[in-house]
Amino acid sequence: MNGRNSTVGTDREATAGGRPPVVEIRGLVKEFPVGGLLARGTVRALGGVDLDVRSREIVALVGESGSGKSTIARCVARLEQPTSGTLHVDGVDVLAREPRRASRAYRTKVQMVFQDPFGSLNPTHRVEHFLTRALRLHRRVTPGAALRARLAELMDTVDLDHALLDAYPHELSGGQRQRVAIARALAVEPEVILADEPTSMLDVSVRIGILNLMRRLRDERGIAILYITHDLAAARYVADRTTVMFAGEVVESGESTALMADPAHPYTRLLLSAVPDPRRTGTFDPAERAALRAQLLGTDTCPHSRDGRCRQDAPVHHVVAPGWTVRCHRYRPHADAAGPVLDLAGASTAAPVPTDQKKDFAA
Amino acid sequence: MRFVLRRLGFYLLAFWVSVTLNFLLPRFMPGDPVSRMFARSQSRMTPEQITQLQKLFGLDDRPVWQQYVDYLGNVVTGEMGVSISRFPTPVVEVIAGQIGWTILLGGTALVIAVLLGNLLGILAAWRRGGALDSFLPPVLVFVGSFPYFWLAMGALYLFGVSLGWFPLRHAFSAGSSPAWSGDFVADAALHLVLPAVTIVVVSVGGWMLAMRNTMIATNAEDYIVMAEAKGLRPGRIMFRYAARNAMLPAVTSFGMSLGFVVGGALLTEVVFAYPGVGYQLLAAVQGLDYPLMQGIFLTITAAVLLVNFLVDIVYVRLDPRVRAS
Amino acid sequence: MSVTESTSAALGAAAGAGSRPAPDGDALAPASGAAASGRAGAPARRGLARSLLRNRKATLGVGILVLFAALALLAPVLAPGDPTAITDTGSQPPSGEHLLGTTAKGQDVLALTLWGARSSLFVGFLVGLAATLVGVTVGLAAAYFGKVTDDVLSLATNVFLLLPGLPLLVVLAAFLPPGTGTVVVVLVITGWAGAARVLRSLALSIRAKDFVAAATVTGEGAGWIMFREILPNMASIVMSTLLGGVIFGIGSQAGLEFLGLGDVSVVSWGTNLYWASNDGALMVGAWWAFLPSGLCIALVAFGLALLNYAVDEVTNPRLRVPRRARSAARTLGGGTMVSAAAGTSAAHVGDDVGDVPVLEVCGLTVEYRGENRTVVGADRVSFTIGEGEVFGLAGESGCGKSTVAHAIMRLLREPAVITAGTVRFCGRDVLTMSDEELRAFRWRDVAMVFQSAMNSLNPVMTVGDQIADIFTTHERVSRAEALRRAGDLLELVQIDRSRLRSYPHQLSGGMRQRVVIAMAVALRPRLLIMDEPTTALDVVVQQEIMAQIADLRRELGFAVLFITHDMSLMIELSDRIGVMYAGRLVESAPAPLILTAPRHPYTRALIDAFPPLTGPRRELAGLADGVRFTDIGDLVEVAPEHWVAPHDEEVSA
Repeated sequence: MNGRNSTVGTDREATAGGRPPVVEIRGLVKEFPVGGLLARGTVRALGGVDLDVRSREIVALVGESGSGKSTIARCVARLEQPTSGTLHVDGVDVLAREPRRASRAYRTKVQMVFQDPFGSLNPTHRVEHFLTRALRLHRRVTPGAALRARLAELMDTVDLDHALLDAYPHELSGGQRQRVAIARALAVEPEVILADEPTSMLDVSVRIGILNLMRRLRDERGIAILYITHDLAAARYVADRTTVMFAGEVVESGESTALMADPAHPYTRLLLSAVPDPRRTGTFDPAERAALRAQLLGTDTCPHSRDGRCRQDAPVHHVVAPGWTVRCHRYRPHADAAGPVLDLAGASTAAPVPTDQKKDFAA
Repeated sequence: MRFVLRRLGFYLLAFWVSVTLNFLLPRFMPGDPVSRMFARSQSRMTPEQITQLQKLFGLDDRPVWQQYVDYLGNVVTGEMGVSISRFPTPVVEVIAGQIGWTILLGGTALVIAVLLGNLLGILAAWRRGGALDSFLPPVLVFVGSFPYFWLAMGALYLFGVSLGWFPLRHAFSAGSSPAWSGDFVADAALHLVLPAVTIVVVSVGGWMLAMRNTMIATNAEDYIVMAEAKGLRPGRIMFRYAARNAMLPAVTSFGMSLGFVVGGALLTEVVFAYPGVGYQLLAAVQGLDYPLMQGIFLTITAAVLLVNFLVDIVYVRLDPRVRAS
Repeated sequence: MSVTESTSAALGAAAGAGSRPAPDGDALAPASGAAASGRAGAPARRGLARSLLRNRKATLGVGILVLFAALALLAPVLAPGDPTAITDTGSQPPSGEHLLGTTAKGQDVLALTLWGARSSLFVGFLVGLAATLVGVTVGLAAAYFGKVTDDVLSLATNVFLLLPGLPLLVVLAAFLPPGTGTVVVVLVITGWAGAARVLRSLALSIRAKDFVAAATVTGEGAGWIMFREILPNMASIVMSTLLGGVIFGIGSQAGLEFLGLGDVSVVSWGTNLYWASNDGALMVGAWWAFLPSGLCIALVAFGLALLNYAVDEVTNPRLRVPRRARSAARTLGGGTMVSAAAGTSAAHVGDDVGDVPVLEVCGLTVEYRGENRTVVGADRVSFTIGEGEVFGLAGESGCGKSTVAHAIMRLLREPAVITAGTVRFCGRDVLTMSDEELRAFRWRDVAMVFQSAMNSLNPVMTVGDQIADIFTTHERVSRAEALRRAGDLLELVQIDRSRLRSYPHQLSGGMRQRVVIAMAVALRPRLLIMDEPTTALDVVVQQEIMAQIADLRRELGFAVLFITHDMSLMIELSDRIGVMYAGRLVESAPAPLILTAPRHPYTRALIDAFPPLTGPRRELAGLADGVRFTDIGDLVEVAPEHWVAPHDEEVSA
């Protein structure tokens, strides 16, 4: 394994804030072109995101579909080209150094695990192929006996039977496939793994196993993990810090348990109130939910504005507590990105805003 | 509306490509085919006609770009020169006199084949494992494997030569002339039967299989299960829910299959000496009548593109999802 | 270029056309995804060849092709000498000396046919190969270079696809010097676009798959991704494109030569027909002169089409004609096949709910009968739902919970068969209802909300028409009255009645699901089945939908069979819960007991899959990947109203 990381840090919680981040994102903007040859336009998926991930840390990025959380992962994995903003990995300004295409050296540091294990493994290859390619490309092993040993070791790490090396993906269950995908990422010995909803397509009973595996990789190998999910409970379970995305922007970020115990932003509260949890008492009543929505759609007051930096047109982040920031309530996100998410009552985006939508918010 | 305009632009582009192809072919083909044509038929022409044809085929000293501009202008104004095989009738007039028969034959056959094929496809998919589903597809695939012209020849031999049920050639009996009289219409209809049936028999299998396969996919959709759960009558589910949706891909593939049907009609015309543009096209090729040949090609292309455009407009009516965007 | 995008190739004129979705699912998986084995993914490539060998259409097709290839190769042996040599024995009918007779020029028709096979097959395969090669190149180039290159390529493809093939062919052939080479070039020029269109859209769809992104992240180069990741996945479609191309090549060559536009001195099936027609063979009744060549063309094309069709069937098993032909005719519109054995009763659970429960499922067993194996989708499942009660059926994908739901309304399709058990609704036996009774029973007595609202609404009908359908069918009211009541229903779920004229795609996901719920309560059913009603929705919308359902239930008082894999949601909403595993019920208890005192290890694993949002973080253990429970026994009452299956854990390798 990567010796440098395994020696760093004894107490994760205490030192997390002090270490320099492995991944440092500043002002990341991503606009997607829409339309054909003529009449091109853009849709803004990310509206200036700041995010840090440190080694030996799991950061959860939570939000609803369309909030831009996966776009961040794909930008960091260099599968999408950011429109603007900077990305530093290990202190290197990656977008400046490798503007067009990521180098293999970069790939050695950053790996990704995809949402759908049925789609992320090429059906025409065997399990062994995926791992061997990753090892070879990144010169992690010499051919021969060492290779077999390394393959066995990888399979052990992700709790898979060695016999499965000869299997085709369609012969594996969803959980097994996702473990193969994780093993493929581990073969490279990366510093960061981007995990894009790695459990959402899996059967529920094996999900916790994948989350536990992520925890183990963090604790035993010091790997930094950016965990993208829509599942707040899973985020709380596995992540040291949680960042909440709304309409392409970060609205709140902080230590997971503290943030979920007393969320500071109305959107975080709305989201949290919607998660079913029979163990929880006093779920939010409908009137309070409606009030949260109204607050989200437009408010002139922000309880965190004591520092006097509030503005409606710039995403100012207030500090709630050390390591815990919340976006000013008065700021409203970029209109076209906010549309689909704000559209909570479910009106069409194509049609004009119907009256019932307003009714729903008020009710 | 945006969608329709975009399609229109696309069809104009396609037409421009075929015009340009037409412009380039006689000029850059090896063996100088155009000179051969002139050598054969120069004696019959007036000097003005020769000059005009020379311009049309690039046998003058103007720069190519200017020839091209002039050519485009000529095509737009319908100025295609005179036919050589039917000298001195202008190409446009020759085509105008024959396109009606092609539209009659091709149109009749197409409409029957499409309606019949789609209906068979719907029924086969609806009653999986029924007679229509198990026996008809292989039979139709087999029949569809025969070349158009060969089946046409077979039909001609069997029903024309041997049995004498149908006339052997042409679109109407020798001696009569086109008129809107009952006798003539009946005569033309009788002449239409064999060629039209040939085209239908060969092409119906393709329509049926395509429809059947789309219907099978559609039948697995949740909204069909939902319609069943709603307790709707089977007929309503089949047509209003399943077939109505399965129709959409059929409509789109219609445009693309049109080219094949036109080709089939063309060959069938040749076998039956049916006086449409297909028959005329072959005559033009054999008579080295390049102006007529090019004119016919452009006419057919324009017609195919036009029908495609009309189909697109129909499609917009049929699919609300396209209407909105 | 949108409209033409979704259809399939029309390269070969006839067969093999039709939708060809990406290979997914196995033959057993039913459409609703309710099979016990939703697992089997795309068949691996080696599977394709093997499946083809087992397919009768494919073997027949290959047989025909091999036969003709052999005849073509052996022509010099079988018919030595120059087949075109003119003799004075013209227009002889078939005889011992000339098995297929002679032409007007006295040439032996059999020899001409055999020799003709050489040119026809050669040109056909050459054209097919070349067109496919161009298609693959275009596809890979579009996938590799993307945006602008792809725009240009797709435009060129679509333009060429639209130009009428045969006229273009005729014009091209007229200008080019005659010869076999010309024929091939001309056919490729007119035929490449069909291949390119299919292969381009295929390559682009594979390009967009996650495994390509995964290969990029692993650090693979562009060349590797093109040829080792994308190309192998195109194999079956490349093959059918090739077959279609050969059909096109052989047919078009014959057409061209028949018109006299090829090199008429070459012996091929097309020129044979040209000469037969030219010599007036038909007019003199010499049918033998034109029959063999045409028949050969048709047979070869038929063989290719069969093979192509077989490839279609293998990659998309749904297209196959069902085995038990007769009985299958009844599946749509009628009801699920109910085997004679159904009606056997088994142990009851929770009998003490009321006098006559709304729903009483007893020993329900559903089998998916495949060609090679039978999978049990639901195995002796028994439960009851009382008046106004919410019963939750929990479990993971493939556990059979949807199968049970569909079986209750007899919505299961082939190959699913209810082999045992009874379903009683308010005492009436659902499984013995006639088609007409069943239609009346559906929706009036039991309605259902399906998992995906987007997919359960007909995309080409307005929301209003789809709701009105219910009233016009079940209550025989006028359309105007039906629409008025549809409007009332929409308002019941807080949607403006102006939305009656909307199409499903004009509504957002949450709104669509509310429309579906409105439809479900249209006839005030006594039982509502909800099959994962909010799985596709975000939590905030899910919460609104669930609140909506709770409101309606308060107002209308229907009982609910609630199906989901989300234990948190289920425990919050249900009165009683049954947990399903591998088609069996493993535990059944009131919701609070399931949360606080689950007995079966599988139930515990399900609950642990949803970590709490409050309290200290503690390590949870899920079900390990290899754990299987087998031979699950009948439920035993371990505490009042708490039933558990005796369990022993088995860890399979």
